[in-house]
Amino acid sequence: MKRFATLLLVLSLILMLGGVSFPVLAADEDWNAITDAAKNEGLLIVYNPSSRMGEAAEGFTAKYGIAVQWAKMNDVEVSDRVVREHEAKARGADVIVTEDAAILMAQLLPQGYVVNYIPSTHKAIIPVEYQDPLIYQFQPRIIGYNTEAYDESPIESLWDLTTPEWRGKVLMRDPQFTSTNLAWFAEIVEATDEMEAAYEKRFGEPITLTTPNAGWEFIKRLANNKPIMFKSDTDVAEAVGARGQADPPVGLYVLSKHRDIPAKNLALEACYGLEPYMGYLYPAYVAITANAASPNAAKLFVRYLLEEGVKAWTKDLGNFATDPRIPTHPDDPLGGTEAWAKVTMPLNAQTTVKHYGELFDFWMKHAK
Amino acid sequence: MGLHSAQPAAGNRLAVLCERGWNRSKRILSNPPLVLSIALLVISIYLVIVPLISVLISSVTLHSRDTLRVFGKKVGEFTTYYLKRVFASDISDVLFYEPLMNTLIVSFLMSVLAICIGTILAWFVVRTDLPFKRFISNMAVVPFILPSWTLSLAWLTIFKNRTIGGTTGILEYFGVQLPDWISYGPLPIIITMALHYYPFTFMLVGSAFKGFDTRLEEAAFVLGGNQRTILRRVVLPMVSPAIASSFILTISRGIGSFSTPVFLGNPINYRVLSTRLFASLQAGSPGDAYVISLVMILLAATFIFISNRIIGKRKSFVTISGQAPRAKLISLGKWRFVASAGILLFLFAVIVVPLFVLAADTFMRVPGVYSPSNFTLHYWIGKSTPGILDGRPGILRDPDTWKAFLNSVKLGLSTSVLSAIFGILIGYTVVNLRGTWLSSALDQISFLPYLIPSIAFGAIYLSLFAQQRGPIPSLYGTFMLIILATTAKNFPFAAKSGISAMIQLGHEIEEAGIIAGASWLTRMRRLVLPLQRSGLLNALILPFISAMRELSMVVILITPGTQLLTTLTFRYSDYGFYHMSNAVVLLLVIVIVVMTYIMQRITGSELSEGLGGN
Repeated sequence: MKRFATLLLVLSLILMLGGVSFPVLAADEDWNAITDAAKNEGLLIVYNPSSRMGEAAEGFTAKYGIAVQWAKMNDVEVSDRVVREHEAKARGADVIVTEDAAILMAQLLPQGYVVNYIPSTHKAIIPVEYQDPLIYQFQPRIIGYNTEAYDESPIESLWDLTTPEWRGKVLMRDPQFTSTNLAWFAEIVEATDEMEAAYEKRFGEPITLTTPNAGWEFIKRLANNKPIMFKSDTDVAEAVGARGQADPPVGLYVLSKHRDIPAKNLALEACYGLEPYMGYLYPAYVAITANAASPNAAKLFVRYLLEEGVKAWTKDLGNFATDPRIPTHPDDPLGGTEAWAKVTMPLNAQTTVKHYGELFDFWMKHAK
Repeated sequence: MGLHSAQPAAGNRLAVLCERGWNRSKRILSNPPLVLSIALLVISIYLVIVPLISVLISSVTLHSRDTLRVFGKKVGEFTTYYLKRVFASDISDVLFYEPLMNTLIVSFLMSVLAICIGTILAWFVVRTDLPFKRFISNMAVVPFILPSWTLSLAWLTIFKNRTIGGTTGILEYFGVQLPDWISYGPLPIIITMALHYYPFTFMLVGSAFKGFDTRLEEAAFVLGGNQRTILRRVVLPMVSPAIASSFILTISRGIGSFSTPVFLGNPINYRVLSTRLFASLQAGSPGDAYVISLVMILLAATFIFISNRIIGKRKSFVTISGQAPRAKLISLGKWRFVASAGILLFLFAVIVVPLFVLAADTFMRVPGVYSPSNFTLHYWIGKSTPGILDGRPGILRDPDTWKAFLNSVKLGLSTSVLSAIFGILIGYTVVNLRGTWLSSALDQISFLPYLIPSIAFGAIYLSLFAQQRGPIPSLYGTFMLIILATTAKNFPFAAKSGISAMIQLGHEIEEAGIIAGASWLTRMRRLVLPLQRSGLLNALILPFISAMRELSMVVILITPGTQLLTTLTFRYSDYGFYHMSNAVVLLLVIVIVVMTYIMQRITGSELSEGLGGN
């Protein structure tokens, strides 16, 4: 009964999220006026999880002469700070970037802490499905291996990660603090059939369940297999790809770390062909805070981010702008987002919201 | 405790007050200590009691993030969700019981080790004819002045293995394969924390050694006891109260300790209560964090309670000794220099080696490659280079460093000045109004922050001041909040030193002033404060040092605009920028040492209280 009630609530929440559109600021905009007003507002504050924001901020300052104070923080910190600043009516962020769809969709937007904003210049350009809320880029986070120790991917299936052979040898960022990893688990929970099929293909027999479905089963077994929690993707990529290792691990990290391969002399490659998927594709959302002290500078910045700022990311491999005019990196092994979306699991905000709470505890319980 | 006993007619007071109306208020106004004490009481209730109540409330009300987990309840509604989660759910083990056990084990063993080190050092310095005593006694307190995680970072620089990725430590570089239990977890936490906290014991037991009457020892000697029997039957029982209070002081610090376990425990998921609390906040579960704060407060309070029972006297931080006859020093004979060399070697290993290792690390281009061609000044003065540490410039060139530097100094100065003023005023009123409920209430309340572990204190202040409440505006993200929290956390020490200074001053001098017809202000300005000057200056040093190296409390309160040197270190190491983190720690160490030296020069006092002075 209780389960049923919860289900109902979850369902209604999903319907709400699916059905309700969040308010979008202004239809036609006078960009000269916005630019002038922005220049008078002075400082712009940006919170985001990526250090590349520094380049985008510098470019913005160089172009418009508006000072940007940007801070790198994780998703929880971004949302916590935004909520606190809002309640405190304190001078805080004007623009936030987050990868945490659950918090954005279930808290920040509906409770009015941030506003979804699409610059009029981009309404006809950014695909509609990426506008509500606005996504400015996608990144694949994939499983990679060490090419010095292995000629080809040493694993063929995600289920390999749960075998004794890889016990203590799977590296990833801690899902407790990395919302996207948790969101990936939510996709896995939903992908029951694929996970079941992959299990049978790998082990030649149907799966015996101790949990509701093959997705939960995978997460439980992965957690029990002593994966090692890292702080950053950089560390994961380095630890997997460092040369001179007798028995190197595999790891889950953002594809863009492959840009460091020459500089750091890494032996690193993605596990292409991994069954059923080699990782996931996650969006970066950008939004303006409801109480932004520099609202015009914030608008201008969002526009700049879509137009030019995003190039701080897309100039390297593994970052895909939602603006189709910004080309995919020429060295991209698959040739674009669509191709990546087929071999990885694109994160879906509704799925994340549905399983977020349960998965967090489930992971904590099993990953001891 | 006699809160009301002094004025049994408390209930009638209001009536009496109304009746005598004008007369009474005139008397209150003409009684500055009374006015002052009421003002102080209001301040300390606001800064100490209200936060405690607020954390209680925060642990049973629904937080906004958890609308994703607890369906059907609104934010701010009453809920037992967090209590259930922490104490009786599937994840209680991970969330609470394991961290609790780890906390108890680590703080207990760490205290035992710290007490052994401190007692042995104190015995050598005070009771024997050890050479270089003065130098040794000054050096012995240095580990306590340094930020506690200096040793943790140094430990990682030496012993880090491959498990957690990134650069390995020096030993692995030279081919030594280290198991996890050496690199991370309880063992290194116990060792590095003991090396940080042993100066407590050194100072307390040292002054006990200094204070006791050596004639007892001589008597035992005359009666035929050998050195070992005398040590066991006479000396140790005499210093056992000091050892016991060192133990309580150390273990209660250990329970709240955050920075060491965060650096050395987190890599292998070994969590104590403080780091679990922080992880819960980081993972967006503040409710869990507040429940854990409550447990930490209860735990610390229990230890203090037990210590009151055992030692019988609360807050015995320093034993002021009577005039014992000058002790006859035990002659170590030819072992003098061996002992001295051993101790100097130990101090070298715990002070010079860690700092040297950290410093060396900041001069290496590629971490872990120990060759001259790898030498670089980039992490200190380099220009921003894309691809190296996110393109951050060297720390001396980075405006963030200087902003944090100024903030740290600002915090240190304002906290120490505010604490000193508060201490003197509390001392003045508590001593002047002794025997009244006001006096004991002030005394008790100002002691309460001692029971609250720093990280819990930070969490509480965050929950309390995040929003506007009544006339008090939200202080979230302001520097004021950090100053307030740090000052309030300092209340116990400030009050303690203020009260004991005032007791020593005595009433007579002020009475003389009254007889001479001086007003209260004049008395304060011309008599009390000048006489307290040395005590006042003294009371500035400790809060300054502790504010400068404070991490566990401020880490929760800090915002990008209010970064301190300590939180900058923490952030850099969180990003895996160990070079930067080490460089900032060194900068901090230099600032602390220089400031301590200057202040000691001004006040002419030493932290080791001249334990080794001859």
